[in-house]
Amino acid sequence: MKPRSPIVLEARDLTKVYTRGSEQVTAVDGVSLQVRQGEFLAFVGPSGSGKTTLINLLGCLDNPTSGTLALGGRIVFGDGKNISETRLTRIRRQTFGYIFQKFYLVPTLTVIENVTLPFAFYRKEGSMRDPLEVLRFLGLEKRINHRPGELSGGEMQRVAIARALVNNPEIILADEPTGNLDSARSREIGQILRDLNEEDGRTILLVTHNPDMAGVAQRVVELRDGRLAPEAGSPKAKARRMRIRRPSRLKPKRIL
Amino acid sequence: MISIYQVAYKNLLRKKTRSALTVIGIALSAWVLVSLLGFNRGYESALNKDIDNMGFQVLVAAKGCPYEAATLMLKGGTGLRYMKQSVVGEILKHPEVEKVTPMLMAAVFDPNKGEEGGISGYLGVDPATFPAMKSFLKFKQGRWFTDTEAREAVIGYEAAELEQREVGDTLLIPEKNVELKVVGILSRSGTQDDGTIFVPLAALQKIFDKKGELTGVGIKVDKRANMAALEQKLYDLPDVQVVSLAQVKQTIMSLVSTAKVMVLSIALIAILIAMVGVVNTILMSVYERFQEIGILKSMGAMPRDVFRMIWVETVILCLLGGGLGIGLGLGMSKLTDLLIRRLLPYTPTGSLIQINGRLTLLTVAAIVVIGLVSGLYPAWRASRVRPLESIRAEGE
Amino acid sequence: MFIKKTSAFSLLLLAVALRLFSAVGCDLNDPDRDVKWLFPESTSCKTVYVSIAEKGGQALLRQVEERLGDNFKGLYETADVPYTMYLIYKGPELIGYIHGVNQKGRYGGIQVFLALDNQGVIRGFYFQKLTSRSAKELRRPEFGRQFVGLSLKEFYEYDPVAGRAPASSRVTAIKNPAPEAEDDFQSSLRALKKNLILVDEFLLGNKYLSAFKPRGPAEDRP
Repeated sequence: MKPRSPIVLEARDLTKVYTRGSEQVTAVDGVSLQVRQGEFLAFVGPSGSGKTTLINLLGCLDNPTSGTLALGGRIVFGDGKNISETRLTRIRRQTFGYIFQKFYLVPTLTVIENVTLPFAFYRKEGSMRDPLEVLRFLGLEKRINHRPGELSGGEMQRVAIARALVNNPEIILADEPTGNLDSARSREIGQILRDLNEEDGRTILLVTHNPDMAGVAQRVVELRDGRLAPEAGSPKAKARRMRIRRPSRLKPKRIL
Repeated sequence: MISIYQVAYKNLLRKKTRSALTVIGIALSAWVLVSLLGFNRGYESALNKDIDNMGFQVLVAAKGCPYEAATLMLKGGTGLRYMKQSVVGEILKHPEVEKVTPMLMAAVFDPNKGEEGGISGYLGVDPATFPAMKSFLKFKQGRWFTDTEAREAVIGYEAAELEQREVGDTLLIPEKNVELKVVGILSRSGTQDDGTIFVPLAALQKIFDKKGELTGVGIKVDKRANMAALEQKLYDLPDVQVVSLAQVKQTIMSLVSTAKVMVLSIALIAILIAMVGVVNTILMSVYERFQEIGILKSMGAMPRDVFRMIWVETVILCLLGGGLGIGLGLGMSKLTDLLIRRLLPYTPTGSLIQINGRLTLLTVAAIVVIGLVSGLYPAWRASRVRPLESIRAEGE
Repeated sequence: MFIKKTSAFSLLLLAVALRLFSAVGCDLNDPDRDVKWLFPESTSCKTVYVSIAEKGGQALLRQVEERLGDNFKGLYETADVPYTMYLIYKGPELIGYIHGVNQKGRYGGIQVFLALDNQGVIRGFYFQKLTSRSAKELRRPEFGRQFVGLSLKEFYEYDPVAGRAPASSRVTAIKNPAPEAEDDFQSSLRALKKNLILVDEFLLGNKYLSAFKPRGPAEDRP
């Protein structure tokens, strides 16, 4: 049996409680989860189920109320203390690349400038030497000097994806990346994510309410009322849980 | 690859009108500030020039009611007081005195002058001592007179131009009906000498029947001497008053300083208002960019990176505004010069507004410093933005 | 101390008072008032500044000198001197001009002012400035009235160097009320001729140029 890839993210009993007016809302309730390198997870669930809150916690965009989170074996949230924004930023930029529903490109910068914007703040060891390659991979080589205003929705999201990749993140976080796109574009994005995962071996965490998008992932996790729906049980669930064996490759070859 | 500075600069281009208006606000206050500083400097140096160009540092004049000299214009020359020429000998006894020159001021009413007539003034000077004290006076035509009794005149350029006098022409003293021969026309000196008619002392004394009398003695003090001590001693002379030109300078400066303070406060207020504009502009743009700033943070921007970016935007606005304002100040200095001459009661000759490199730097520095200070809050506020403030939780 | 300070200040004021008012060109002392009494029917006036240097340089200077019959002399009569010209309007209609020139007199500067109709004919003459023992006689209105109705056509005949005009000329008919100031009288005529030439050159478009006959050799002169 082939050895399993290492665990890149481990969450234990993550909980997030909001105070809304006089009420206390538990958005995420004791979620425990393991993600291995090269996995592609999709989080699904009705609106209000807490999937975005969960992914914010997993992506270190927010502090949990309680519970632990470890990245690559190192504990990030664990002792109930709030981590400062500066420290969180440092952790985030080492590990994650983010893609959001709203593309958030800087309108006064060109595509290439937007994509290389992270380098203005931080250049990771092992970051991409040639951002143009990623643009080629995403089919944007003809748009390098255009401004976001001149791009279509699908192109803009692709730029955002490129931007998320330039610092070679271990994990990609995508929160409803196709929410603002039509079905054709959505499928394109879905395919790109799949390629990133299968050809490039990236670990991807995806939040979506679109069942087609969810189908692109290897593993689908359902949330209800802040809790993970039981994965075990039905054969369907089992099948969902099965990790698709990577064809004849132990370590994913990084083409980018 | 792009840098924070480029991003900051391009951010300003997003709202061109807003940025432009803010820059104009800063430019106006910079203009006021640099003009004011230039005026300070120009006025002081012009004043110094006027006084230094008198040639002597201490003036001994006939004692009299202080304002009679000033009412000379109204009384038609009868208000002057005189002192005996022997006082020169008394003055020379003091070792601190290097040189002296006796002078006699005289004036007559000239019915032909102006609309209803005016005063024509003449200054009797000693050809042996006066030209030496005022050696920097240059001639456009001719030269000084040599004989103290000669009926000759040397005229300052502006006075000559008014009467179209040249060397060889005649000058008429009205009332006394005496003709003087013009032997020299001075070049412009930028001091009150430009409007003075100089006549040999003894000749003027004779014409005005003031033989042996003077209105003033100019004293050049030895460099090493104690001027204050000399002044004290001179006080002991009978029927004279001692005017230290340093005192005169001080008197005028203190009169002017009130004006300076007032204008300075106005300049400060102008700057404050401009700065409020800056804070408003940057803060507003920060509020509008919360989401974007959050995303920058998700890309790996540290709070201090965001702080720096916003601060740089502020500095760019201030530098642009400061540069524009200084340019305006330099370009409009002639116009501002005219304006000030209308407003102030006494203005020395010479350029009133002198803006040099040092002043420019000072103004720019002031604007930038104030800009940095006013940019602090918006930059800090921006750095505190949490990524999640911007990224709305879906459906939560 | 107080006395010292105030006397210091007042002495400086005195020095200031002795400073004569500097005038470079020849302006009306009080344009609002002066225009009104020279042209009572006027409603507005426009001021123009010109100089020979900027309008034609040395070439123009030579032309003007030729028309004048005399060279520009001295420190103060140069091509750079700015001339102030006043255009007088009644409503939208141009009704005349006012112009003054500086002239060197025996004891001081003379300022000769002319009020002209829009054809360049004199309708008013006065001395804004005149330093002379005979100033009173020359400033009398009777003297100025002698010039009314004359124009450059008549004044071309006046020779400023010789100081006279042909016997038949209307200029010769002008009387000098102060024979002891003959030189100032002649200077005023020269100033007047120069005034008319400048107005013709800069405002009338050289209307009178055709009437100008360049002087022949000296023998031909009357």
